[in-house]
Amino acid sequence: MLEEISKTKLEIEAAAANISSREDLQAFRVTYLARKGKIASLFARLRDVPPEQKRSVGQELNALRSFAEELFKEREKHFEESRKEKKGFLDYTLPGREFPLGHTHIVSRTIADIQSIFVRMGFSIATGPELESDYYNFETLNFPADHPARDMQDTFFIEKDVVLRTHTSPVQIRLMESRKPPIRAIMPGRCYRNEVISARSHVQFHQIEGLCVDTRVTFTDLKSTLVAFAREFYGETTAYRFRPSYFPFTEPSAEMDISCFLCHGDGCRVCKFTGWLEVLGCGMVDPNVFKAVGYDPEELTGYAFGMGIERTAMLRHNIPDIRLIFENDARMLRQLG
Amino acid sequence: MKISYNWLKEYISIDVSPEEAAETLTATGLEVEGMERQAEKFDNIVIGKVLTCEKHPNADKLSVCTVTDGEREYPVICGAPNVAAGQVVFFARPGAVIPDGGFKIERRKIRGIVSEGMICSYKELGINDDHSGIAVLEDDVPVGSSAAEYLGQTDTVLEIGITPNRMDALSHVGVARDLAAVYRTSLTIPDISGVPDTLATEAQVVIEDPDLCPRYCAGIIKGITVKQSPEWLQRRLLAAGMRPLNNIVDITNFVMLEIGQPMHAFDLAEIHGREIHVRRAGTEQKFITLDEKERVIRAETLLICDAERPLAIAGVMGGENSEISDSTTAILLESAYFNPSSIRRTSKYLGLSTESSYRFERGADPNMVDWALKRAVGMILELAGGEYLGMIDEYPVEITPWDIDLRLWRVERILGIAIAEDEIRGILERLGIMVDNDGGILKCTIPTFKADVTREIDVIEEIARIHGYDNIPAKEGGEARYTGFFDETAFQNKLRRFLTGAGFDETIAVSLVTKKHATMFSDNAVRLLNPVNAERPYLRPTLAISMLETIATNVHNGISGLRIFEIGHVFDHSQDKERGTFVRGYLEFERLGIAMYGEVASRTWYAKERAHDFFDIKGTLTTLLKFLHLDNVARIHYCKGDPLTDYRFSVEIKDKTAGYIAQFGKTVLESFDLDQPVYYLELDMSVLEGAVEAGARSYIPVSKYPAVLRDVAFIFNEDQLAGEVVEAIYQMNEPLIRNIRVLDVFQHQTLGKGKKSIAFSLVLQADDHTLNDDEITRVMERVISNVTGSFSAAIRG
Repeated sequence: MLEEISKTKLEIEAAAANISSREDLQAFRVTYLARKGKIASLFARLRDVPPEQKRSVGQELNALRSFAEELFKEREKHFEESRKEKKGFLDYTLPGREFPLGHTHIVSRTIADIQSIFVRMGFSIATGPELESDYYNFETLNFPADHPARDMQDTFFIEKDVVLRTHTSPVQIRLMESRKPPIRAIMPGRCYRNEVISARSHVQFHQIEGLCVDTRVTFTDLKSTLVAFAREFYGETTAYRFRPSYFPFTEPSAEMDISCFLCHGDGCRVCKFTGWLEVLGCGMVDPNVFKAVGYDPEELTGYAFGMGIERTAMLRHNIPDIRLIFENDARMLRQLG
Repeated sequence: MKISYNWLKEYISIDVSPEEAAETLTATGLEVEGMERQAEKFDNIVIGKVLTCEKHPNADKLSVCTVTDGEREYPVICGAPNVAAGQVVFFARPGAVIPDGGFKIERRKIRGIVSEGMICSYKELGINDDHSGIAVLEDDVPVGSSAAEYLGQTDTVLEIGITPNRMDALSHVGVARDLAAVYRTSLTIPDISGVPDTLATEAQVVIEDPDLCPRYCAGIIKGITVKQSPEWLQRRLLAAGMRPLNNIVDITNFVMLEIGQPMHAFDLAEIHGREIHVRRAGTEQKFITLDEKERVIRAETLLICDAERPLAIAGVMGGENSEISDSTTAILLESAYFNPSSIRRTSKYLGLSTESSYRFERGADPNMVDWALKRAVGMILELAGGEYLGMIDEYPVEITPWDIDLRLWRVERILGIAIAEDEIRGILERLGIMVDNDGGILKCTIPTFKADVTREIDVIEEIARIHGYDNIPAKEGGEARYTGFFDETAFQNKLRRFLTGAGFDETIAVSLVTKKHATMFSDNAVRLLNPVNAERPYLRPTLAISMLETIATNVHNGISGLRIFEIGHVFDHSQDKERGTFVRGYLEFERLGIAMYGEVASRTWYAKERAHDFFDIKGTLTTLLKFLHLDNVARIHYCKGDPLTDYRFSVEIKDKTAGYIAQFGKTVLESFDLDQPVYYLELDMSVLEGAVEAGARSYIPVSKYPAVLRDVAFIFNEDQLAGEVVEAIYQMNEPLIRNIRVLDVFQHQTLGKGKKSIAFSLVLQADDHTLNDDEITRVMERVISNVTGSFSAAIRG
């Protein structure tokens, strides 16, 4: 048996040396390496070998197989290379094999860009439900029933006291209920308004809400946080102004305007020729909101702010119509993502 | 709200341009959203003189004139019957835009003759309806001077956005008050002392519902003449955006725009029994308002009635039955204070918002009611004549100014800067708030026109907005206290990164869907009470609807293939009305939806085109599970008899239902106008996130010994599931078997009828030694006997 193995080895060596074509290569494989080839038949005879020799014969057979396989691979490689050399021409202008590319939606991307700035300023990120009770969407946020403030937000009702949230502010309440101060968090999410769909308004949009509550938070902190955000998000040279406004859940309330980055303050259609763009609403948390969540307004102060994502994205990316954002045309997704 | 700058200046003496005043108002919280300079409309319209005037040779009704603007002579064709040489007229030069109709003047030929301008009528200038002919002016009006000047159109109108907390600013005086506070000056309020405090006996006022009407003042004037208001009054109203009607109505509107108090005038002759009853309707009834519309009044609606019938919907609109007409000679003038919520409910219910209801629902000033009445009476006597018979002032529920303690240190505590006490006092006093220092605490007496200032924080806001937000600095170098960190969007973002990296585009679609689709996918879908779009009144019960819609849009737009995902919320009514995920009775879940259709890849030089099939979505699921290290705890089960899908498999992770993968059936596809297969996967985000092991994973040493690859093929019945075989091999619990791959599956006649071959590739490996042949053979023989024993299978040689 051992003799036969070494004979076969010589034969293999000779046969490999004689391989001069791809056909020869195939024949070599069939003769020696295939399931019914010579090496396999030698293995098959292993069961006839006396037990005391089995081990050494087995080892030899394994070595023989490796030997043949190696020779085969080496010759195969030789043919591959020689084929390439013969062709000798690589059309490198043919397109490469790309892998598929995915894109984040412009709303997600804008949220992520804004989040990353606030996260570096120490803000956490919280979320909440879109279907809300009147209690969270209005009552705890100091919107009295039958108050004109409720007209500021056209509301979708599910039933009398159940609404689609009109802003992300209910998350503030849920957050304050579930955590102890100090709190510093932003809250992105989808909101709804019962509005006629047009280029400028839609039944849904996204907001990022911000909340900071501690024992020594003042209007100057609110300003420094938002100014830092605006400089980073809209550019280092961005001018800003804060003007008094009204939100039921903040007092004092403000709107933050930044200098129009399209016309740099000269006046254009986007800024309605004012040179200013309204980018976010903010203010000091109203004491009634603190009372609603069981915080002591004498001990704690806080600020809150909120901005619309679609509006921000439309300004930044020159998107003319909010409906495009929710239409999800693949060509637009791939452009902006 | 429109504010006339000329009018404003009657109450405050400041020497600033309208532009500067606008900026100041914006900075105090009265945002000026727009400005209109009246004179702009009259650019290139000047006073001209007609030098010559002859008949047009080709048109009977036209005249050919020469008009001078004092600098140049223009040929002008004029169609007015009254044009004549020597007239002083309004002349529109080239470049002018005619205010009524926006017609632009340029050189043109009319019936063969050149015309370079236009002689205007009052109607064309937008002044009044007089279109009988061109306006002919006095001879001494200087030629070449501005038409705007002559017409008194020199005002600037500020369009102010009023937030709901600023009921104090719904008038010219109110707006002037903020300016006075900033410019440190005082207001000049018209003097009404000329109107005596006579008690009227001609009529009676009974307030039957003092909660809804705490105060009602009625003034009686007889012998008036109803006519057009004088020009100055009309001009004021027009500038403020109201149409002049007659002197009585115009005066009530003027006083409202001046001080913020809505008023109404009734024809006294129409007040049966000379009695005014302020009461609720009591029963549902019909009523015709003065806009000639019949309205249905609810029982709880507050009405102004006479002895027999309703005359007005209190605070909202008067009735047709007692309206002032040209023949009216005696009036009852109403000035009242109504409960804001009540007016708001009525206005909402009727869908009728008026200048009056707008002010009442925000809160008028109960203590300005009598002032306003006297102011109107004084003006009526002056402009309509008549005799004042006095007034009735019913004030059963007196509303008095209230006190608020302002702790000076609180100002700094909220705003972060110290403002001197003198400054604070000055601001508050100029806003009409009386201040008295009581040992570090300012006792503030809030006037009743500032109904929104009820707490210390509201007083601080008044201080802040007049001091100026821009004068409060951003804090420098403040050190924020560490508040810990959490990110509830982290898992979302992890999946987002994975999926975009894997070639999926993210979509965000509208959550509102059609009834057809909502009810197709759920028996418990949630419907809106007041959908804006009747076609989409439901909240989506599954992301599948959104994704199928997105696919339909893209098919329509000619996109040949798509792989998309959305992370969003879905909604349902909960079976148990008492329970819900967030709101009782409702379920709301965050889901991940993935959909694919059409081409995976187009044909290229190196590969054929390929369309998506079931194994793309299945592979997406299994890859996603591997990414989350959940592949060993997830199972897929076939779901029988799902009518919406050709096939559907539920996905279980750690024995919880996590979602499903499916190919949608014809009914679903057709309802979205789709005709090609869509493969879909929906997973619940919280189940997925909950299953992921929290914390850091521990390293398990990898084997240092080589792995061995062994292939084995079997012949099975053709309905044999490969997965069962793989599972059976794993179930052997053979520690050396590390992985099983399905190599190929095929059918061929040589295998026999109803048979197929499946080949597997097994990876064998030990952690502590190199495998020897015996071990490998032993394992392979076990595998073979197990498979052939468990299934109807034979080894393929």
